[in-house]
Formats: sequence, structure tokens, C-alpha cells
Amino acid sequence: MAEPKKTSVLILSRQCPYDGTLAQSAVDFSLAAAAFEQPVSLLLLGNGVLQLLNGQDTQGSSQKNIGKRLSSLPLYGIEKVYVDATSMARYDLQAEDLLLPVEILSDASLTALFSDHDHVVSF
Amino acid sequence: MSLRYGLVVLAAPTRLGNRRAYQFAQALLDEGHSIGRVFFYDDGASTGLSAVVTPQDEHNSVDQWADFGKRHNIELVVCIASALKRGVLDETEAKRYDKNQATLHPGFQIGGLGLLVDAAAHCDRLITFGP
Amino acid sequence: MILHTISAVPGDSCIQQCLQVLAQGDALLLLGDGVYAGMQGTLTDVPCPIYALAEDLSLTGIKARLDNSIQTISMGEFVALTVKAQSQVAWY
Repeated sequence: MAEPKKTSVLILSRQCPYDGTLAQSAVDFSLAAAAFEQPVSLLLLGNGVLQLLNGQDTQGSSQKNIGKRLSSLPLYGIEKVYVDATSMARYDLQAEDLLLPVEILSDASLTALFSDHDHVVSF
Repeated sequence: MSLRYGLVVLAAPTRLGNRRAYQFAQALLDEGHSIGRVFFYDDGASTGLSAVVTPQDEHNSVDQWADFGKRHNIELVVCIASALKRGVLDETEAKRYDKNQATLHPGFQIGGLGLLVDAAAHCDRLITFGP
Repeated sequence: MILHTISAVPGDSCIQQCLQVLAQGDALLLLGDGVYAGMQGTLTDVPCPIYALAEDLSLTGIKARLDNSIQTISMGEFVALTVKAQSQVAWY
């Protein structure tokens, strides 16, 4: 049986977490890729950085807590989670405001991240 | 050079992105490429809804995709999680959730995210059409 | 070479974000509502070739207002761009 080709996927997630389903769909796909052992990286860009904001309280809201889901990604083998410095600055956020220790990328590093992956799927 | 494509459609059938995805799919075949799978995800899952009726002078995305898939033997997969939320159920899911009828257009099939991962793994290009 | 496709209107933050990531040698394709960004003088300092999808230029009526630097392309040419590119990024 042929080994599946290990193509790398960069998942780009740019939406706010709770209005709409795109943000959760990006997380679902990340987890599926990890489950099938396909190399996957997740970049939270623009409003996407807000998905990692600490203090999200979904008690009694019937919403899945996206912050909790994202902070559990390393448990599922997804280590490569990134945010961009420009968006962090736009919302005046520091690393300690986030639920997960992530690499904060400059624009130049962003460009490199994109070209380092075989496919990019944007949510 | 003939390439194998995977298409990810996030756009609902009323969105321009959905129509452009369909036209892109046609152009791919015209240019001699192949399509491994079209994966309808998130709002794109509504493309599998069979009861869509459009005015005579407007295009019916659902029928067009179904027709395209059948003519060229291309797998049109609607993501199960996205589909259920949007009322797109095949016979199995309709029974499972006690809904009185299936709503999935017969030209489509319901599948899991594993099929999108598979498309990523086996296609030369993965093209996303956003909402 | 990465193909960036924009389907958001000018003013949407995603255009700015796309420009953060864009590299010289990449390609930018405007489609859907993204063609409005092709109007004269809207996009500046873009370090790569810009294309716009013919059908959307017609629909929106901006064909006559398209910036000179932008090349009109067909679906077939869109396909050709994806063949040339290593990957595509959808900005919307």
C-alpha cells in the first residue's frame, strides 16, 4: 500500500471567533489533518488573533470555546501555531494576553511561512 | 503539464464565489487537468441542498454542480458537520436524527474532513473559493 | 510564486493583510467584489503583477475604470496562473 504523500498545509484563519462558523471550521480541519498525520500549521491573522484572547467565557452560551480548543492543539500534535505581529499590535496585544504560547511573526517571516507550505487553505 | 486539483468551496450557492468555483472547475477540465474532489465546507455545504429552486433567468448552482459531477464523474463531497448544521442530510443522517426526509441532492455525497485531508495529500493544487 | 486571490472590497482589512504577505514574484488576482480594488489608483505599491477576472469586470461595470497596470484575464488564464503558482491563497 502506498504511503500517503506528506504534503504540508498552512491553515489561514482570519475571522473573529464567535459570529459565524468559519473560525471553528478552521480548527476542525486542523484537528482532522493532525488525526491523519498530515503536517499542518495554523496561522491566525488579522481578526484571527482574537481567537486566542484569554478570558473567553462560554459558560451557558452553547458555543464551543475556541480559545480552549486552540490551546489544546499541541495535545493533538499541532505545534506550529502562529500569529502576526501587525495584528497583535493593531489590537494592542502582548504574548501574555494569549491562551497559547505562539510564535509571533514579522511580515517577512509571514511571506516565508506561506512559501514553506504545499497548500494554503484560508478560513 | 496536467495537474490534479482539489477544490474547497466555502461559499454558499447564492454567493459569487460558488459560481466562480464552478466555472473554474469547468475551465480546469477544458485545459486538460483533472479534479480529484470538490469539497463543500462550511457555508459551501448548502450547495448540496436538493430543494433549491431558482428563477428561470438565474443559474441554479446545485443543479449545475450535480450535473457537472455526473457528466465528468467527479466526487462532490459535502462535509458532514457543515451539512448537518445547514439541514443537508442524506438518508442515513435523516434516519439517525429522526428527520422525515433526506435533503441531500443525489449528485452529492456526505463525507468527513478526512476527505479534505486526503485531497490535500493527493492533489497537486488545492484551490479555495471563499464566501 | 504564490497566487493570491482577493474577493473582498477595497477598505476591507484583508487587502492590507494580503499585501503584508505578498512577495515580489507572486501574482495577485482580483475576482468577485475584489475587482473594485482594480479601479484606478486604489491599489498602490503592489510588488507583483495584478490580474482581474474578465467576467467580474463586466458584471461590476468597472472595466472602463480599471487601472492600466492591471491585466484582464479569462477563467482559462486563471487556471494557467494556478498551474504556474506553487499554491493559492484566498483573501476574502
